[in-house]
Amino acid sequence: MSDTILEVRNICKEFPGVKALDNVSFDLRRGEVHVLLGENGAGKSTLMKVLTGVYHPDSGEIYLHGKQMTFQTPRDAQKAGIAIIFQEFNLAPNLTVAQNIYLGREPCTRAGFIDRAKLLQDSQRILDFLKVDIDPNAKVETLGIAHQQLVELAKALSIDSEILIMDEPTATLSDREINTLFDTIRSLQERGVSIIYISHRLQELRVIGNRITVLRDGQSVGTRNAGDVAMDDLIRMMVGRELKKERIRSVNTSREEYALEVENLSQGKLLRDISIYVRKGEVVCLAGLVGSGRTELAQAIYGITRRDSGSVRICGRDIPRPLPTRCIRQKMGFMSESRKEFGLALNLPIRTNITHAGLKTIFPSGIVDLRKERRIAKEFRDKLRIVTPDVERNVINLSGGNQQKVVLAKWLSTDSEFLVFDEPTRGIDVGAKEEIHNMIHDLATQGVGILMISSDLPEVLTLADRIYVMREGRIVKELGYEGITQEEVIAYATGGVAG
Amino acid sequence: MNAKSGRRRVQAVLKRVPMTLFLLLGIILVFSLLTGPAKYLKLSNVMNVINQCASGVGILALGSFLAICSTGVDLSLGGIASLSGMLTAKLLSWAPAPIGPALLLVLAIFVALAAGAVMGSLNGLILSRTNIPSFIITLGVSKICETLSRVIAGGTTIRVNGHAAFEFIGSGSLLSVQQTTMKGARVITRSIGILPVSVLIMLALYVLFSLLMRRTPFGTYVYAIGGNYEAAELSGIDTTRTRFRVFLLGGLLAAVTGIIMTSRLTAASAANGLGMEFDGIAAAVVGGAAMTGGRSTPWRTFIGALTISVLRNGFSMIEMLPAMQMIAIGLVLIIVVAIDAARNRR
Amino acid sequence: MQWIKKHLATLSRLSILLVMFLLLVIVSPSFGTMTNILNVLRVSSLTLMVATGIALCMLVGGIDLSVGATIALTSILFGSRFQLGHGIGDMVFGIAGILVVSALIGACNGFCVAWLRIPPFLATYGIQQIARGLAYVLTNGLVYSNFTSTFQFIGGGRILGIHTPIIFAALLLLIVGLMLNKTTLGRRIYAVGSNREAARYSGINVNATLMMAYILSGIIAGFAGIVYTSRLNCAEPTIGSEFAQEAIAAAAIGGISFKGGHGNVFGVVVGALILTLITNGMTLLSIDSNWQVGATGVIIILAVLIDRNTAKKKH
Repeated sequence: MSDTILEVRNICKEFPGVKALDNVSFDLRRGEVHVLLGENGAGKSTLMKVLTGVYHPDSGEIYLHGKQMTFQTPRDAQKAGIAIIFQEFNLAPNLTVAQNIYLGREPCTRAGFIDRAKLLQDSQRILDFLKVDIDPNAKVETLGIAHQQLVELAKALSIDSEILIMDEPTATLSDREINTLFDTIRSLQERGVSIIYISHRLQELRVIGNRITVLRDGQSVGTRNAGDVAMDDLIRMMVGRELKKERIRSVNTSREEYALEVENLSQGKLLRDISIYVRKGEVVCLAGLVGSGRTELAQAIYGITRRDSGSVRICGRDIPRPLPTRCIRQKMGFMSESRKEFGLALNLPIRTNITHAGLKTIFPSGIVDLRKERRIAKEFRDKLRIVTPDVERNVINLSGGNQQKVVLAKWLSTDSEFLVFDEPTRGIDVGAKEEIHNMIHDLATQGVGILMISSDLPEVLTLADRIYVMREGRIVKELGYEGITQEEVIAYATGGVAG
Repeated sequence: MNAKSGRRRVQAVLKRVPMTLFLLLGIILVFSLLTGPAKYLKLSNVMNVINQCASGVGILALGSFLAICSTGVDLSLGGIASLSGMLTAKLLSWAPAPIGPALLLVLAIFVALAAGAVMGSLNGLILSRTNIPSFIITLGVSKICETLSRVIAGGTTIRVNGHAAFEFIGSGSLLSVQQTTMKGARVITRSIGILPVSVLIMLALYVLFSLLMRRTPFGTYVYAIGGNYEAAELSGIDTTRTRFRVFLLGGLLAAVTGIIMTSRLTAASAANGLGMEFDGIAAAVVGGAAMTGGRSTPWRTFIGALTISVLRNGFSMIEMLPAMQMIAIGLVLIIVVAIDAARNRR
Repeated sequence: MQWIKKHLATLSRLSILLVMFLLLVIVSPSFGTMTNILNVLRVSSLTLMVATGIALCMLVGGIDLSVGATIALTSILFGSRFQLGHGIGDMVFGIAGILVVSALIGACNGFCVAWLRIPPFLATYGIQQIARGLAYVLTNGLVYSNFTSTFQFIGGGRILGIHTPIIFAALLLLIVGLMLNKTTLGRRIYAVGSNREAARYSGINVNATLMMAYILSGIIAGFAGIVYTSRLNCAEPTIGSEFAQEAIAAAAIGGISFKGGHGNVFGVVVGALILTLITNGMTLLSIDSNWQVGATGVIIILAVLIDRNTAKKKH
């Protein structure tokens, strides 16, 4: 159990505007389950992508069996015996289970045809080993999500790898399936396979893990033996700075009028009977794990998706058939979690990006007053301290934090009175994060109602006046800000406490 | 027990019968009612449809299917068919030829296939290495092919006369039946080929591509690229090479179409293949291919190609004006793709 | 300095145009004469008009292959139905009718692309087939010609020594340029082309914007059809088939990206002129006119390959 099989030394990886990995080191021993723990954005997934050749590190070394390696492509890593089960599904839905398991490594007859008998046999053997009842001839798209996850696992096992990386493998599994998975992991351990296990479900880590390394803000905080570490210690290592952190918001500035009232909103299996409200001048946070339905709720309110039932009032007016246009008319704004996908037209200048949401209100005649547009752009550049020589610069050239400020400027230029922030500080550097926090605070003080979705708990605790915790599409708890701790929020979000 | 499993097997078989087949049968029914079953379903017309399919959209549709299956589209197929057909005609009408007719035929077919391979490779080289939308590159290549065949033609139709071996490809048949019809008082005896060479070539190609798509890694990779490009790449599939081969094969298939087309008409004009690429797309989509990639099979595409041929033949049988046929085919293309798009949105 | 950096692409296109022009002047002395320059402008003006329309569709991330058929259909309609008498009033009425019909064709394109979600090249090809088919059906094999001299003036006349198509093209460019830069519609077109989802989140009506781009392209093609018919003094269903690819080539050289949201009208002008100089040069070097279709094909491919915005490798 002691010989080191993989060692990672001083890995650094920088993306425009953010240091994703900062001098990360850790080692993996033969036959152990090494847990990587950290919040969203702590750098876990980036580290895995470096290990599997998807990203190339800026500096640092990877040693496999004491030999230094560089992986140019995922294929290189595979050949070296490192397999990974990604969080997002990497299956071709139109192919069968067996085809997916051996995709890119089909057993062939001498004539160059696929040896289908062998393909089926081998797949069946792996599925049997996993003790799952999946027909290897079934198309992947006909399977449920849990079964798809197991096919991913089978695919990784088929590589016969020495090192297996699992990224949040239990996120979609039921208890029974989790137990099967853990049995599998144990039998793999016995065969000498080493496993890097990424998760933020604290309970299961101690069941399955041998050692735990905690990552925070792209740095490795420390490694502990799973046997002798207290849960509280892990949480403290994970969230780190929280103890000293002061609240930015000292006074609750909430007013009488409502910015948002949602009653009994439901949408399929994603959202169930949700009732929440946000007052003007109030900062309300939606906490919960990834996939608990927070973003889906915001999208249903904003009219990106259709709700099945329930009512939504924005700034005192019913929105029976929501559409972004109608919500914007009611002074709502939406800062989406992915600014590149939903927030910005990257190849257009800052100036035009800022006016995109307010075209109808800023230029009611339909004629663009260039001078006015430029004035508005400059005003917000100065107000939000967007770092750029001039507002004609294309947005793509800005850093993440400054891009986020452009999106914010877009909503401020429409005089929004209710703003949704979906992960407003993900992937931006600490300085810009601080600024955005202050801005949210200032906005609330000016009377804007704010609904913030965030997985960054310290952020939630420094800003929120009230917190709704979501789990599996439901609001499980409403919390005031006074006296609550991160541990408490995590407990409700993971179901550790009966909500 | 046995009856139950038997019924299940029947259900399983029924499930595998594509809906398109019923659509095809429906269209045949409509046309036979419109023109009279005796006239419409007689052997000569049936063979006519199948022959038209083989020398028209039938083989080319395989190329469209391959491109669409790998999330692309190939608009150069018609142009390549036209160029290859023209090259064949030009070489065969070489007079006086410095080599014997048999050798000349081999040379002509070789050159035509090579031209298809070159043009297909041109598409493939660019499209497999960049992410330029495939319609624009293949449109450009199509224009290049069109120009080349116009220049070769020199403004006329090139006729191929007295090449029995060559004509056999497009018009010959391994087996014929005699059919006598009464026209007034005269008795007319016609021989109708029921095993035409061109149809056999087409069927052979479908068998070959069905094997290729189902039984070889290449086929799996094409489906994988269409199903989930990221997954294909992360699984270590050489997507560049696979996409290159898709367009190369498309070029070759178009070239075969061009050769058969010239052989059947015993002539080639520069406008011969124009617009065929859209028939090919329609055939593939009717057969069940999704423009988003990864769906359908060669045999389903075959049903799609037959459907398009039946439509074209039927429109002529009910004496629809050529202009009205243009409108009808345009409508069919839009409706079919709209249904596909609606299916994908769900 | 900043200005030069920002407009580097446009400036390089402009310099290519200048170099080509100078080369042609050196090769053939008669090329530099005012008459010939006006002639080049006149030839390029129709391509330019159509290219402006196609550029709008490309800016929203689409394409319009139906322009040639729109030109044919509008031409036929004007010849056979709309020009009832010979008075100016009849002509104006007819032209108005043409613009309505071409707007309808554009609306069909827009509907297929925006609401039915058909890939633009397929939708506009299908509409193209239908429009050209209609053109054939309407003519019954006739060719319409001998229009009134007033009508012939539209495409064949001169004002202050300048050919009317040049003036129309200049006016159209001015209007479209202003529309793109100075109206919210222009902002919406760029926003939708650059990032459709972000536009939706910003409350921009994406479908209406797509629709508008295709309708405008249709109207512009219809207008080009009138000018073309007037210049040819004849209307038949076969005309206009080469317009789509020439216009696409001009827009592509002009830096309008096939990914949408990138490029401007000035680029299209330069693109159309470069294209005309190439064909003009080929004529001067007495190259078979058949090669010109192929040249547009090569130009489209080269222009897209050179454009850094589109030619990036995946990842």
